Amino acid sequence: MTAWQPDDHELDAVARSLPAAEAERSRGEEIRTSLLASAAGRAQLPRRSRVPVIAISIAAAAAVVGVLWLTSLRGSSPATTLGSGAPVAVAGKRQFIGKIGNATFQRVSDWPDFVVHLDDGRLAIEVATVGPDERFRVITSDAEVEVRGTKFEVAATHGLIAEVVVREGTVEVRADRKVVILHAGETWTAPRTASRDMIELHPTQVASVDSSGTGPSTTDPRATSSHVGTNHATTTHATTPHVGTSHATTETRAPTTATDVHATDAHATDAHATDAHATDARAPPADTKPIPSVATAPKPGEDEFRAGWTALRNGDPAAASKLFTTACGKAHDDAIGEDACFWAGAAAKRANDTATARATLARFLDRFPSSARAPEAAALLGWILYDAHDLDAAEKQFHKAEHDRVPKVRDSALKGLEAIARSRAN
Amino acid sequence: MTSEGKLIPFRRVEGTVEELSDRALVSALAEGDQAALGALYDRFHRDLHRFVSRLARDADAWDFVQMTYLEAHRSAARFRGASTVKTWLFGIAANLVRHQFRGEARRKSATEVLATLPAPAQPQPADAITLEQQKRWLAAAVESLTPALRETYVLCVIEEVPGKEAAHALGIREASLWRRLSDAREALRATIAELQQEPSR
Repeated sequence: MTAWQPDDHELDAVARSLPAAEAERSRGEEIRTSLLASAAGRAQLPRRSRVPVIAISIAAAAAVVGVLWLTSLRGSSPATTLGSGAPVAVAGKRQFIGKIGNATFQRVSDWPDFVVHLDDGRLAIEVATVGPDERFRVITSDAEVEVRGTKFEVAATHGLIAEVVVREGTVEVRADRKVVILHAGETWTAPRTASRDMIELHPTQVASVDSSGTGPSTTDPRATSSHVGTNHATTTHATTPHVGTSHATTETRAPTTATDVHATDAHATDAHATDAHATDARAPPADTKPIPSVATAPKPGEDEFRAGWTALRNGDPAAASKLFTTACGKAHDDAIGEDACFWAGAAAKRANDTATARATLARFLDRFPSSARAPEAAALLGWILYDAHDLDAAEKQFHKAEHDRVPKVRDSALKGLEAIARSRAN
Repeated sequence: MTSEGKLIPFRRVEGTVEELSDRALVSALAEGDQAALGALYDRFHRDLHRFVSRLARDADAWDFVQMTYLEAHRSAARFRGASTVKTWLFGIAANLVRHQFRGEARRKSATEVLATLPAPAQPQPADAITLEQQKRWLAAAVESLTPALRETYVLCVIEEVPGKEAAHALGIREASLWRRLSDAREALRATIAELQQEPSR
């Protein structure tokens, strides 16, 4: 036999033709379920056990940076913020914030969680690379932009985001229930909405809060957040009722499952705490309403939702369904509500409570027609209707799921349609 | 200044997950969004299973897939966008498999491996080496590679991940990756030559 002595090219070509193990679908589904259950359990635990250590480290580092920064500010103009009379640029060692024309903005907090609140106008921003536990954000009342190591411009009109232009790097813009990823050279412009148009017709008075020299008088790195947070509350009060960095962070971080609510990171909670206790010459007027401390309070339906998951993991889908139904009833049309309403139906089906599953899934589809889970719910409902010999209604549901990108949902719907066709042929 | 930035979401992913890029899903996952975890699983679990099954025993492959996603869930906040999400997951999986190998020292000889592989279906002419035979030898040779060489060869050659990304995923320098790849090919050729000496093979 002639020896086979492959060169690199032939060796690699044969290697690429080696058969791969087939991924068994049922096992894959099993792993998926197990994985999501594990993740739900994990999310209920305190998220970062290293937080105290990290917080102390950051506090120590920030204290040093704060002292150095204050020292550098003393000799310069009142730097940090804002209003049309503010300096053209606010430069730090790690960030450069330049106004393009008139811009109203303020720095809400310093590193390690650098937050700039932009009310109006356009800013050109450069951010140096930041560490894994640091953040840099620009917020408006309706959107948030976070980047790490990039150059970009962000514009707002009366508190609402208007445009983001990326010069270098990548930016993710989350606004108007959409996520947009922008690369260098790309521009995102906010879509026109009724509320935006109203604001343009009736511009609100934007309070000019002088937080110049926001550097704290102590070396406590949270002091900056405290002072400016209070001022920010004043601004918020005067402009849009629900703006506020910490509030926005909490409000917008609701995960798909409720279990993450308590995991909202320490910044939000700390910010509330400091907002509430800020005492300073720049303290807000008496009528200033503090930002409500929602970071630590469970959302409506959250407790029941968690209990539902626990029941489901413990193999009691009937109890789970009841708990999810309660959570669904209590929750708003938010992440918790959406997931709870879906799982109420799915768990009922798993418990063979067909009547409840049918009604619950139908209600879910009415209430959350554009949910990511809608096709899956439609497929589940389709099979329930098929089993009840309501072929027309089942077909309608399967059609909703037949083009879903999740293979198991799509396959289930297609099988349902085939089954309907067979039933009709017979 | 980096050319690629890490993405961190501020708002819960309100749109459908299929609208989101892989990186946006990882960002959402970092915030604890389980819909994102499910979506990432749906997108990549087959690729990951295929990849892992080339590094570990078939029977262990799903376990590694699950462990990979759990680890991805834990470390999503540290994803820096230096590679594609798929390569990032491959890197996590390769690390897990490597640790397993360290624990078990499970490297087998090619002869041992070959004994477990199915024989070619068709009888072979005496003077011809069929593609099936070549595949058997190569499969046995790949399985007998050291874990480091095996993961490099599978990642770069079979999965065709670009060198820079592969090096990042494996946590090694690009130069080391190319050296490993060269060593892997040499080792494969040597093993194949040895296997051809075996009269019964």
